[in-house]
Amino acid sequence: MDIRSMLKQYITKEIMHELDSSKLADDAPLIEGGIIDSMNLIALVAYIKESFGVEIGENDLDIENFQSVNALAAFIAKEKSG
Amino acid sequence: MIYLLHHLLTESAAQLPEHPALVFGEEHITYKQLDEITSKLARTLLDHGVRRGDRVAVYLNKSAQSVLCLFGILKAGAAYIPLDPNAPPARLSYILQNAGVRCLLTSSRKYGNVRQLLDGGGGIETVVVTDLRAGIEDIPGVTTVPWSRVQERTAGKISNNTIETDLAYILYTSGSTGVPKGVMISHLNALTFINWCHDEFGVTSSDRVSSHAPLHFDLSIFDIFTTLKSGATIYPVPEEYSIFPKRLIQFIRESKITVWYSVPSILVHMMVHGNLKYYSFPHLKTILFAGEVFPAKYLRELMAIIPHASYHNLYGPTETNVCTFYSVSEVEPGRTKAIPIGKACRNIEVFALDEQGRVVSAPGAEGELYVRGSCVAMGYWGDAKKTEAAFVRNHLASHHDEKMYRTGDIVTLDENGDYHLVGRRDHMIKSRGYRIELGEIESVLYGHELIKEAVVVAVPDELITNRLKAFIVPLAPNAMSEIEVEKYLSGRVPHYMVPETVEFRESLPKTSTGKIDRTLLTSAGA
Repeated sequence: MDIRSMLKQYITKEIMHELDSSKLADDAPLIEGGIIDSMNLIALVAYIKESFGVEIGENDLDIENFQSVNALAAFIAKEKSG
Repeated sequence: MIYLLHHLLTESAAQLPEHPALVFGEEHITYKQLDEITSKLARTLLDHGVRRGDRVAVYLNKSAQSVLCLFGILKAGAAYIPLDPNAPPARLSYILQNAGVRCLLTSSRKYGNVRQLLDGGGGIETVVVTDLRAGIEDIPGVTTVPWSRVQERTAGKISNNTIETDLAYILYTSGSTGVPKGVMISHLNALTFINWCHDEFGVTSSDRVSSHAPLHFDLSIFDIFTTLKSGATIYPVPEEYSIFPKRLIQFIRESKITVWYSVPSILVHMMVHGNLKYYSFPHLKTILFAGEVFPAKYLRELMAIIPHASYHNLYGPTETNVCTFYSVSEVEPGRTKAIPIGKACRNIEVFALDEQGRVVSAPGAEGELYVRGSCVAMGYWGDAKKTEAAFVRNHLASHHDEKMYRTGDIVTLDENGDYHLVGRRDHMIKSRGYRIELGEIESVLYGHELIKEAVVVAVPDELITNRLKAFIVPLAPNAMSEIEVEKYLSGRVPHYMVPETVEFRESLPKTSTGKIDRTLLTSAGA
């Protein structure tokens, strides 16, 4: 599964409590939409480290990278290749 | 005479009209501007049928507008009800109906949810939209008032016959029987707190005070009203900054915040996930915290990072606002014991009573903390039974009748006369500073047709005080999945009340009296 799909599955299941990952649009606003909060952000960061081997440091723990599934997937892909 | 909350604004506006009252992003609003726009809003509300004593709801994300709304409502002689902008619509609908709200102030960003709120049966007649974004679709049966109408209105003189014992706002808090309960706060109740903390912490017009806590938390009363009383400037914190500690740190530094008040979890979040120790905060001189226990090791660390600030632990339920406090001079190395909740604030009296109603004063002896004074709220909206149970007759007052509030917190006194929190009389817990009645979550669970038995326990957590775990006996094995339970709950209670883990059992252990053995399950959940 690609990064985007894995993220969507995690977020819809663990955060939104939805079984159907198509309920989350790739560009849906995660922060403005109240989906991400300080608690599940930390869990999401742990998931990203575990699943993609990408460690998100304090400097990258920022609004831009978590705006949407697209933004987050792009950031993770960049970190993996960099 | 200053006896109503909005007098604080009008008085400061008369003294310092050009001084900044509110700063939010690029918006800088002076006291004069704030006074004028809030009068216009009050006039507009009166135009649309808002009457003295009405309850007007505020449904907004944190912004300059949200502060503005409170004063517009108060000037009109009504009481404000702040709604949690992130709560599920079903819960908010309940609140609107319970309080008989007919007028709602919202933003274009939240407007889309308003229809959902009304679907729950709320009797909203008027909705005021606080920003100018166009293209808002009207909701049938509801008068939608655009902000332009407010801006164009001349306020004129607004006669307000409200007195200090009238309702100023209602804050809804977790209720053990499954629905939230509305704590009724009068102008006098609020001013008792505001006058104390203004004095105690020496807030002056040169201060820049953050407004981090949401409006439905009583920490906001300090952020907004004490700041305006002092002629100081309020800096509302955008909600998303709380999620990203780096942003919050940047905000505090760039805004040159001088006074910060929040739950400890947010400060811990900045330390643990935001590298707080690499930054300096030369302007921050007063740090207040309340709502949960600040773990000693994190407080010690924070005091080392920002050594020039003064630190104060504030304690008090919504029903009294802050009633005791403790100024922290140092947290000794190796100390793990929680810091005290301290002594009563000036103009407030507290005492610990044992089961026989006698005052406990011997160091180390335990009792339940009771509070008396003008800080004690008027009761719970529309719930005489719960009000009677919590706001009891003060049997120690010999010559007159008065109410005191029983906090449900078990405390002890130390040799210095400081109170310490020991535990609860009931099943209320704190998590991330949020007050949670485990019974509320359980009641909601019992409402599900596939759930036979349910109990929610608190699992102690170093960072957020408690995590929640639910044990559920479904009607039939495998009748439900964990995700279904969480989805069901997140449609009814705020996210912080949704247990992180759900365990299904065939049966739940019982005590000798036949009740669910919470203690056993709590240790199992740890």
